Amino acid sequence: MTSDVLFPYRYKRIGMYIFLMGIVLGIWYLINQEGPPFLNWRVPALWFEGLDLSGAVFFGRITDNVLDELALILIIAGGILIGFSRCRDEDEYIRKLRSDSLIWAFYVNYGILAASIIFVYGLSFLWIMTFNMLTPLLFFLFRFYYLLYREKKSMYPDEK
Amino acid sequence: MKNNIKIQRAIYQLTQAELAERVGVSRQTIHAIETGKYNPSVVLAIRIARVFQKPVEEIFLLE
Repeated sequence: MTSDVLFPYRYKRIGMYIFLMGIVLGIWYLINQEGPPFLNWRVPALWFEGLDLSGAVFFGRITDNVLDELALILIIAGGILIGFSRCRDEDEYIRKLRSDSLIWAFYVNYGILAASIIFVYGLSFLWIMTFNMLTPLLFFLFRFYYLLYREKKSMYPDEK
Repeated sequence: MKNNIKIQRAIYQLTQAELAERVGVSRQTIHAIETGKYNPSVVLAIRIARVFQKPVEEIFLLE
């Protein structure tokens, strides 16, 4: 039995390309902290307040370097396609592994976040919050593919 | 829940892969059921029982 909430199998590969692009852009951003000038776009903003705290803009237009936005969107879109596209041999057991992985990721993510709330302070906590945007998805992907790998590995040779 | 799918397969001379194909799941799933790691859905249990032409409760037993 397969579920309608999943994407078709072919989206998995597309997701991998999108995800990898996002990771590359994300690492670029972490290293340089600024994107190339051609990514300085004039963008519509629902809500914007600069670091100078000069007042919030609602429904305005601002100029922003969109490298970090691109990286995040690509990682999220790619990650979701990788995790929630059907496997080639999708069935109820794989669905169970996927659900279990989601629960596991939720526990681990909030466990780490809770520890960070207690032990990380000030601006350093901004880093935790930044990574925490993506860690639920990343932990889930890691766990799900690890379980699939472990299942395949644990099978004994087929016999009658 | 226990099951005797492995014995039934031996009687019917089916590999895990062959049984998996007949009931429309992956071989991993049959393996997981045989090793007791996974309890199949009712639908899948009935499908498996049909392959072996036995009532479900002769193949799947409550412990």
